[in-house]
Amino acid sequence: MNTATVVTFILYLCALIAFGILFYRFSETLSDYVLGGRKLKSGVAALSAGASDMSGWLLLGLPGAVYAAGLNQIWIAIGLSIGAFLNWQFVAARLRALTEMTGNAITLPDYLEQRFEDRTRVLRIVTATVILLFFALYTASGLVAGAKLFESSFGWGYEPALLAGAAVIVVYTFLGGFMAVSWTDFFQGILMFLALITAPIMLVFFFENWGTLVAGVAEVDASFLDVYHEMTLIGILSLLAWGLGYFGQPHILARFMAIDSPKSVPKAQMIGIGWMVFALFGAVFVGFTGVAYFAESPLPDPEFVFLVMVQELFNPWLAGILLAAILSAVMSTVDSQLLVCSSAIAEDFYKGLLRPSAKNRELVWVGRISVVAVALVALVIAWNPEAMVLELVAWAWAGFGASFGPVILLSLFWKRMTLQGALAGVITGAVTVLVWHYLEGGWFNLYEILPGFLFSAAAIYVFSMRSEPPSRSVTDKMDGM
Amino acid sequence: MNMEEMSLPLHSWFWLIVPMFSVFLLSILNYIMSRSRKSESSRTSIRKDSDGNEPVSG
Repeated sequence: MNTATVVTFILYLCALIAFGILFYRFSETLSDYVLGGRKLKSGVAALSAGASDMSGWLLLGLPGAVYAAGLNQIWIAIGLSIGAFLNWQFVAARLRALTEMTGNAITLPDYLEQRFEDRTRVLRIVTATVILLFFALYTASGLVAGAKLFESSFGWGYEPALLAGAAVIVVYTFLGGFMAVSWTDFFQGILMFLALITAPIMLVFFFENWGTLVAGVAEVDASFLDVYHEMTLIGILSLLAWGLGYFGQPHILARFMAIDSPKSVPKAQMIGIGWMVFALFGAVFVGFTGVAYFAESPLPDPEFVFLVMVQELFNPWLAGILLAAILSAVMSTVDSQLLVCSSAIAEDFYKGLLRPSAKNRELVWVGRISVVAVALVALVIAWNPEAMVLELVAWAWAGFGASFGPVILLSLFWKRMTLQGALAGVITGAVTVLVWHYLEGGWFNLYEILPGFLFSAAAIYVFSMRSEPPSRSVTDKMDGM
Repeated sequence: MNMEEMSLPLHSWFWLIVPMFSVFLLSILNYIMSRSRKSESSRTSIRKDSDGNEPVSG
């Protein structure tokens, strides 16, 4: 690894920690620490949502998949961009407005409890527990991805790499909370975007023109040009269905809740979707051109197509920055997930159940300590590099999408929805995802998020209609929107 | 080796370009419409206040 690359990379890590120090004093209340006091500007909200959403998959997984199998991997990118658009379009502004109207809820469990006036607290406990369990696994998968990158980039051992990556993320998240996380996400998002736009441009010049590039890919395998190759209807539906996950991802919904005003949503949507579409194109393009670029000497690990290309094509200073972009993708997801877990512990369990009268300073420190505690749990899970944590990401995505997605969506639009419906939706979605995952053959090969989402929505409807209508105070909140 | 130029199949072009750029264009359209709604409501406020009250700024 070139010295210039290492220096650039270390400077980047120092800049992240500087953000944490900068925003340390900003957090006076728990709302400041976990939601930035709902003052997030549209550009920061947009890129932070995008960077938190896209982890190492965008710069490693997707280019690797296209490099290994061709353009038939595009379907997941299509599903994700449509899902993200619909999420901004239908959820963002309403969630922002309604969470403020329902007692200024700063977490999803808090919002759901207030929305349905659940005095039993069961909905809060169930949803906060689901968040902690799934995100512990999701965070662990991010740490594994980060450690493997450090390992391959710097030749470190797995454990030191794991600890180094976790340490940097924990420091700036612990110190600066939501604002540090969102602003680092913002700059990381810019880095990721530049990396995914610059690399393809360089590659087109390398191949002289588009036609030569396509011919080079076809030389390796002509089926790589065909988006339908080896795709069945179930396969295409399964990949498109990834988009449904957006409606239930707490770390993305948190950006909606934190935006400074519902009126800022259209601008944030335009920036966020623009970022996402061009970044996805760039990732697909890198994988596609990699097929031709590495035709003479195929890569042992497809997921390193972007990493190896960057090191071969760019000067060492730029390569350091682009390497930072890859790690940015991982860090920007892990920091957001850590913070959501922290908010679940501090707001939903500590303040919600144990100490309702806790003062702001105490709550901020509980939040900070929770960041460290969750990171430690994730480190223990991630310690074994052979642990199949990466496979669990798809399951966690489906779990959130199916158990929270319909509940959040319908809670924003359907006045007749009741507490019983909400509970039934969360449980049905989670159980369907769990059971369907282990069934095989025919329609059971469908990605579990789709049946989970549909069954959860059906359960919400049935249980809401069979229970007492919500009180006037609940429906008045909806009318006030 | 003489590398002839090639192109992607038409259906690949379609699925590569149309869905993702459509959502991007819809987002731009949505933003433009929200700006025009905002301008319209500002003009309405100024018109209402021209009945003897101070004009509303912005």
